[in-house]
Amino acid sequence: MILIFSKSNDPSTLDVIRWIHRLSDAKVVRINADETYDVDITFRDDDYHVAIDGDGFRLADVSSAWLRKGSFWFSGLFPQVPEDAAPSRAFAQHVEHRLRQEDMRLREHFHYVLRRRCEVLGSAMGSSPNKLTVLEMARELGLRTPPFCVSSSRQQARDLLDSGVGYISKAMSDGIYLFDVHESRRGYFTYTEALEEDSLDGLEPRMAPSFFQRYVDKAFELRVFFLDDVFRAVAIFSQNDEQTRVDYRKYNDQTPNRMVPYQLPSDVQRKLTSLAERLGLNTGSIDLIVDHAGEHYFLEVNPVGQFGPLSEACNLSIERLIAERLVSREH
Amino acid sequence: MSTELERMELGALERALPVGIGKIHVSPTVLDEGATSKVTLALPKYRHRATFVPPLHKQISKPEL
Repeated sequence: MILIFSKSNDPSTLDVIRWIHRLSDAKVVRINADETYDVDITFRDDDYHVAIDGDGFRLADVSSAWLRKGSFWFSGLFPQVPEDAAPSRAFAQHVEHRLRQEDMRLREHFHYVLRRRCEVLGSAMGSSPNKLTVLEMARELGLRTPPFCVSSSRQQARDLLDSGVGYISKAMSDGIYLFDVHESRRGYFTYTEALEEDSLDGLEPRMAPSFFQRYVDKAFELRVFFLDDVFRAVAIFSQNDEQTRVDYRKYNDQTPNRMVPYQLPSDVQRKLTSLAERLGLNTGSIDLIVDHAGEHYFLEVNPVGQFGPLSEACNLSIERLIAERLVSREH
Repeated sequence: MSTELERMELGALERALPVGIGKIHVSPTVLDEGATSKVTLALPKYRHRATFVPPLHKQISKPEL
C-alpha cells in the first residue's frame, strides 16, 4: 500500500496517482490536509492502526509514503475548548495549548514510526528549511549565492537602492499565495519584486525586517526538481520580458517564456546533492539562475515545490519518476 | 499581455508589512465553482478527493480530468 499525504488542490498528486495505477496494482491512500475525516487511530503492538472514514490500514501495510503537501493531516482528533465551558479565558487558552502539544507529540511519533516502517519521500511535515540558513549552507558548500541583506532600517534599504547595483526583495519565508474560495473568490499573491523608489514610499524609518538580495542579470533561470541524486531541470528564458524579468511566475500567457530541458553541470549537481543531504531532503525543487558568463547562482530550495507545469512543458515525466519510486517497494 | 495583475491597495497595512510582502497582487479573475468544489474521483483502488484550482489568473469552469 502507498500512503500519500497532500492537499486536495494539488494537481501533481493526482498525476502521480494516475501513474501508480498505470504501473502497479498497489492500493493508494491519499489523505488531504485540508479535509476532515472520521479518523480512528491506535498505536499498539508496535504499530499504528488507522481507520479513515471506515477504511482501515496499518503502517506495516505501507510500502512507501509520500509527504507531498501539508503538515496536519489528521485534523479534529482533539477537541476545541469552548470558552464558555471553561472557568476563564486563560484556562481555555492553556488547555488549547496543551491539546496542541498532545497533537504534536502524536504526529511526531506517527511519522517516526512511518519512517521506520517504509521509505518516505518528501518532508512536508512543517519542515520547510530556513531560506536564510540555506543560503549560508549553500555558500559553505561552494555554490554561488547572490549577497543578501536583512534590515529593519529604511535608510539601509535606501542605501541599497542608491548603490545602483540593483536589488530584489521577497519574503524570507513563503510569499502570500492564497486562493480565497469562500469569501472574495479571488487569488492573492506576492512575487519577487525589484527594489525601486516606490518600494520605500511611506515606510517608517524603522520598518518591518525585510529581505533584500543582489539582483543578478540572468541569461536564464532554472527550476530543478530532484529525487535523491536524480535531477530534472528546466531553463526558463524569462529575462527578455519585462513582465517576467524579476519573477517568471508573473506569467505572460500571450507570449509565454521559452522553456527547454537543461542538463546541470556535474559539479553543480554534486553541490546540490550535498546541500539536500545536509538539509535531510530526498526530494524537492531548487531555483537557480545563470548569468551571462554561465555562472550558476543558487537562490532557494522548496521541499514541496510545484513541478507539474515544468514537467508538462518539457516532457520531464517527473510524475512518473515519483510513481516509479513509490511502487518500487511493492511486492 | 493577457495577464494583467492588479495591485492591491492596502494603505497603512502595506507600509507596515515587510518590503518583500507589501506588494500584493490580486487575481482579476473570480474563481468559479468548478475550480473550487471538491470532487471524488472514481480511481480504481481507492477514492481520491481533489479540488481543481486554476493556474494563476486563469479561470477553470470544469474539473480538468
